[in-house]
Amino acid sequence: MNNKFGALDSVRSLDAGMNKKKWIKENLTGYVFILPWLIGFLAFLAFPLLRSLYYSLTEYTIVGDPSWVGLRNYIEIFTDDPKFWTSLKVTFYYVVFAVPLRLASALALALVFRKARPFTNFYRAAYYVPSILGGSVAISVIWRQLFSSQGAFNDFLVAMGIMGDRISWIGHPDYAIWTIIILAAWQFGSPMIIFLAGLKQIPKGLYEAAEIDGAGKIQQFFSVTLPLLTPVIFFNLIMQMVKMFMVFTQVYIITEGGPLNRTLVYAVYLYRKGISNGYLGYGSALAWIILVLLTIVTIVLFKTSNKWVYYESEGE
Amino acid sequence: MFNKKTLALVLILTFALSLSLSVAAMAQDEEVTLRFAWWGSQSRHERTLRVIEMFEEEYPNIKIQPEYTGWSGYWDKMNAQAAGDNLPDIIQHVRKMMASYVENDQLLALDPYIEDGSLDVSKIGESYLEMGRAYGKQMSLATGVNAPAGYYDKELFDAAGVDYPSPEDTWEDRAEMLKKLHEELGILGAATPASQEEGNGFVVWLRQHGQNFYSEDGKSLGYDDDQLFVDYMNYDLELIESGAVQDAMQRQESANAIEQDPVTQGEAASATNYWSNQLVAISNGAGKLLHPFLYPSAEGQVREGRFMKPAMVMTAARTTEHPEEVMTFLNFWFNNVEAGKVIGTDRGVPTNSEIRTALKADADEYDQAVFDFIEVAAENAGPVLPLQPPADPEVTTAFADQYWEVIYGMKTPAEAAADFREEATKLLSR
Repeated sequence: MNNKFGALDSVRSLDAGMNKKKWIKENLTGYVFILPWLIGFLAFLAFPLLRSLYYSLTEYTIVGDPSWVGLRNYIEIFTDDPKFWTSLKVTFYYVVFAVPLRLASALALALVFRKARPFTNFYRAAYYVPSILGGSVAISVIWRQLFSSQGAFNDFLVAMGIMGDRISWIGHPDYAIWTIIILAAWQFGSPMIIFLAGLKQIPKGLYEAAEIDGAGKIQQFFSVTLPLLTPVIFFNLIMQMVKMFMVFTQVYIITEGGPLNRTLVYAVYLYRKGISNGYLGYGSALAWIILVLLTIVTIVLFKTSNKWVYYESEGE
Repeated sequence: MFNKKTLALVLILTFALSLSLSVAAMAQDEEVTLRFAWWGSQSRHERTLRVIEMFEEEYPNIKIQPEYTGWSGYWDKMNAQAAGDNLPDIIQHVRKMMASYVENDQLLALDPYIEDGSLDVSKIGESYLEMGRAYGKQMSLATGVNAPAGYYDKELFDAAGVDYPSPEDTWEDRAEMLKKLHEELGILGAATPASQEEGNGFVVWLRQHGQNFYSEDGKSLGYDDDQLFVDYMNYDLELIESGAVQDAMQRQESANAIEQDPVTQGEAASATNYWSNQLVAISNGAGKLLHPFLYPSAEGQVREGRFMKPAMVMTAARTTEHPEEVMTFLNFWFNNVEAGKVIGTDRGVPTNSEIRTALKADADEYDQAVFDFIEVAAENAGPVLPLQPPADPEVTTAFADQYWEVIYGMKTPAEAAADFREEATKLLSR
């Protein structure tokens, strides 16, 4: 090391003196340490990202070589592709319902597990399991089975006398999307863990003060817990929203985008176009559109966050 | 770590090795090396390598350099090599990918070699040869064939007292058959009356009425009368109403795995939308042999509309430097019975009649059924399907969209027919 970088050091030290030399030495070690990550980032993220940007500006089928077409793919998507709009609508519908449902169930469970009771740790782990399994093919297959016309969900409804006849929840154009939304709501594990951590951060003293002031449990929740939890809620909201915009496996296996394209979420449409139909250039353009869209939605959320997210340290 | 000495040693060794290799290459100047590329599973690789060994034993002056992968990545590799004028001498190909290769002049026409006798196709039937032609030229040879097939459960047919399906049945006969099965047994006649979403059933229907799915040049639809679409969908709608086949929601939710088709669970007496090479899979799902049957014919049909399809084809690169040796290999591949036995039905039921007979003699019950069925299919097959245009996957999706709209009752068949025509025309004329 000394040999190699000695020359560089001496050049720098001429104009910047000893501090600079020290700076390089210290930071170089840092760069060496992050090198594995950096290589991974460049090779598996930055490179494919730029590559797909290039492909999105070409006509590129699986059989042929990419040929430059400028913005044609984008123009076609916006002006001449009704399924693009369908898939956007479906995806927004899914996100608008699935994210709040998941966050609500995560928060509810986190409140239950907040206090240490016997077996709390076991239950925390048990309720985390769905979100480990949730993205898996096996769960999707089981889900499909559950909500089929011969499935357990129908058995339950009929046995309870709620419904006279069995319904194909997956095959019905209006209900199919809800089977997938419910699956999403059920996978509340990771936001739940984060909520639990957030709840622990809230000082006990605030509750004691609230109690002395005569606040009941419900008022405590709305006046103390919820405001102090807003940064965590905000974090979870962003993370879950990004995840759900990219939902693929569950939809692909449970409904494949059907019936009548009512569950054709964006990622499934992208896959269909890019891989099944073999239009890689077009698929890349679709991918970039959702990336930009997601960025915009996230920025808007960040802007509004000033209005409702309460940071304790603010103004200090 | 390397020091100077070891580095020098490595360099010297490398030079020496490459030198001796080139000397060896010079010494065997007369030996010809052919590159042979295919995709497949492990069992196909093993079978193919064994055939190559057999070939090299018989023709010691020809070496075959195997280049094999799985399906994924195969075409990336081929396309890159095509772009670099560096295609393997012998290429396993599929018909649906051939159009662009032929158009770009990447493949060697086999006609001259068949004419001068260096490639013997006397044991391959005319309809099989047709499967290898593109734009009127013999650009490839089919390795084996598949045919669209339905499957039925003999016991259930016996129980219902319904005649087994026969190649002479018309569409109306089949509708009666499905309804009767439903009435007698209280189960489905079949999940669907014909394969529809993928359009195969519709293709047969069109051909029987003297039309085609695609026009000759592949730039538009090959039928003008939307009434054909309407009649075809009405046929299905009527059966849905009778309860003999699944309704839209049931179809939507039924699994795509062939092993789980209602016929395998005894929930239907037959199944309609499969291929001949799936007999083992569906029979395994049912735990017993399910018998294959053909599409129906149309009453007073203009021509035979049913078809067979090559499972895959063998092609030669136009850039090959050793066309004679390539033909020697193809000859061996398509005509040597021992080689044919090794290859088996892995690449479809073989097209060479002699090999087919030899294989059938050794086959088990399931394979026997496939062989018998392919013979029936060959007797009842119309002209080979033309090459599909590049937009085929998208047109198929458009067809599926309209199909679902109709059976869900969101559109009338007439509306769907018009919408499909509009969409397909747009896709094909691009």
